[in-house]
Amino acid sequence: MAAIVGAFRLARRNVARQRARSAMALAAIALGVAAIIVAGGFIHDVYIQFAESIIHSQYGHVQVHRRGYSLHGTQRPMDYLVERPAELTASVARLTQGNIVLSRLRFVGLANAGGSDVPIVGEGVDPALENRLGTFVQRVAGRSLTNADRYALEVGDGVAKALRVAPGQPVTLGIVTPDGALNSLEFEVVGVFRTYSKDFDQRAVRLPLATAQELFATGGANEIVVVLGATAATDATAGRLRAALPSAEYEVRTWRELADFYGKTVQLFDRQFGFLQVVLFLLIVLSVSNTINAAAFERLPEFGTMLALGNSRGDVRRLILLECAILGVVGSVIGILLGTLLALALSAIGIPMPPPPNTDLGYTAQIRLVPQVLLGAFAVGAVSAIVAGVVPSWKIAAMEPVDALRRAV
Amino acid sequence: MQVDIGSSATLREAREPPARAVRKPVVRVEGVTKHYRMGSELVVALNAVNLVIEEGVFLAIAGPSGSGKSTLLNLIGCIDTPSGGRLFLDGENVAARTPDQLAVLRARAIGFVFQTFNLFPVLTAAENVEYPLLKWRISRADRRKRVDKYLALVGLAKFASHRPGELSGGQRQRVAIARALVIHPRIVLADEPTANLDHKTGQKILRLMRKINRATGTTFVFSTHDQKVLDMADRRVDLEDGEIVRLGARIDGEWRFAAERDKP
Repeated sequence: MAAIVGAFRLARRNVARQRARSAMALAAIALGVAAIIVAGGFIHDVYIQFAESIIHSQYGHVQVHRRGYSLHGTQRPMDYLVERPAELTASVARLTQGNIVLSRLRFVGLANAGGSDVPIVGEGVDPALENRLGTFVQRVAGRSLTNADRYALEVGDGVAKALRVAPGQPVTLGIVTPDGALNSLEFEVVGVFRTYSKDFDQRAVRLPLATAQELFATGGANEIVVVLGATAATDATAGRLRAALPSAEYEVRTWRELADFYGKTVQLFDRQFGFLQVVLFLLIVLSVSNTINAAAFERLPEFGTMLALGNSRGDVRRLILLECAILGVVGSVIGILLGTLLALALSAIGIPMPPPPNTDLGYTAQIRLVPQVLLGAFAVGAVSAIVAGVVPSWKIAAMEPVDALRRAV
Repeated sequence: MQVDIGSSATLREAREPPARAVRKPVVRVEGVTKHYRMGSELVVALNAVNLVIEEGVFLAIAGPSGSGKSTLLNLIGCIDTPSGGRLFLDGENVAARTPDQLAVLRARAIGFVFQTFNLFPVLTAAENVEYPLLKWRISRADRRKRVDKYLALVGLAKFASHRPGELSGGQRQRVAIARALVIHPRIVLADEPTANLDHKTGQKILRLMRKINRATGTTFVFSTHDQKVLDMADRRVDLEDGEIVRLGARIDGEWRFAAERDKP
């Protein structure tokens, strides 16, 4: 115990003694740690904003469908109708404790305007509730639907461009009813919207749910959408719904399951961030090892003295590594403070971002302070400093005591 | 031929009082050679040296620069390894030991005093003296007691909390002596302990070492090329070009010599 306390005392004071060199090593570690915090916080903000835009422009947090809808509903949505959606919506609302629950009637059809036809994916929606869900939907022109609208349409940016229509102009929707009849109705475009997904905007048409039900001569809906107060509650809510609803009849899908491209995007970004962490780790190791090398070799006579006084080679190695660990821990703490300040400052200013691939929506990024990123950055800083000390500590400890003593400065 | 500074029959019979008790050898050097390469040249630092050092002696190793004094001290101190020959410490061949076993041996049996003091600059005088004891399983109170005792012995009790940078050269060397003694070593090795001190301070340090030698019976071996310092020793080994050229013992204040080179 006394040896450990003694070694720690010596290491701590040695670090404090070599002010200039320690400051250089600390700066390298702190900057690396701060860089990881800022980069990691930025990437997590991308995840969060991406997730929220998916949730609040299209999917909600959880959806309840008739079983099989997720597999075949895209082609034949009308085959998976919930006949009495109000009852299911009420049950789901009860189970999700007062969050927004809305029903949609999703269908496929053809939109026509001025001789142009565009295949569309239509959604009959409850305008008031949908507007509460769609906080990430950007209005390009016109207005959003209201509960007072009847034969009114909102179209995606891509649909508007393809049909060359603007608010106030007519669009005819042609559909096939569940019993195979052709039906068409004329609507007035009241608004043009844009979501995170360019693909969606090229096919999306929204109209009041009652009108959509009239068009298909049904009182049913095929998507029950739940919007929660906090995204973190998604899995718990989905679990409750799965437990309560008859599984043979209904399937419960979270936004992650519905938007599988989100998972793939996160995986890709995680891989990139992991690579960035490795690069920063190596950069810290290289810059710190240079400083540690110079500092340690300047002190060869001290290590020679340690050996002469009966310390083993392992004791010398441990002292050097302990000094590196102290530098690593102190540097990482400074780096966390620096990274936190930078994150707060950048978040206060906001980072204007161009639209991501396949979207037309730019956004303002922030730097999130994520506990696991802070911990990871701390670990990278501390471990890289120790790794930087491995080679010099082995080289010095392998010397004959007399050779180390001879290097009198 | 083995040269025994103290118990060598020739020396003892010729120059020492017959009443002198036979002392136990602490170090025995047998045919030790040390050579190393400097570029393409093979430099012989020590050539087949034989020597016995008995406990309790105050022995000086003398010789000009490059004669092998420091090399011999380093080999005795087990901080360097011989190229050939055998070296015994308390009767045990140290050549057979691993580096870690040698470290334990040094920690237990050998005290070092260096020309450049070699104190840890970040530790106080007391902490420097305490340092070799940290690996020992003794209580903090016992360590403290020993440190206080040896700082007092070298006259630095009042400077316990001073760091080396706050001490004079002579005081630093006193701390180094206390550090060497605190482990109760079998032998203290001092490589040119006065070379970095002014003459007066050097004399004081040597007198202190001599006093401790006499009071505690601790074996002291030091190297020097200073004649005045040499005269404080009671035994001397003169080296030249890596070989022992003569051995001396001070009898009644006079040096008496036997030449090692005259061996058959």
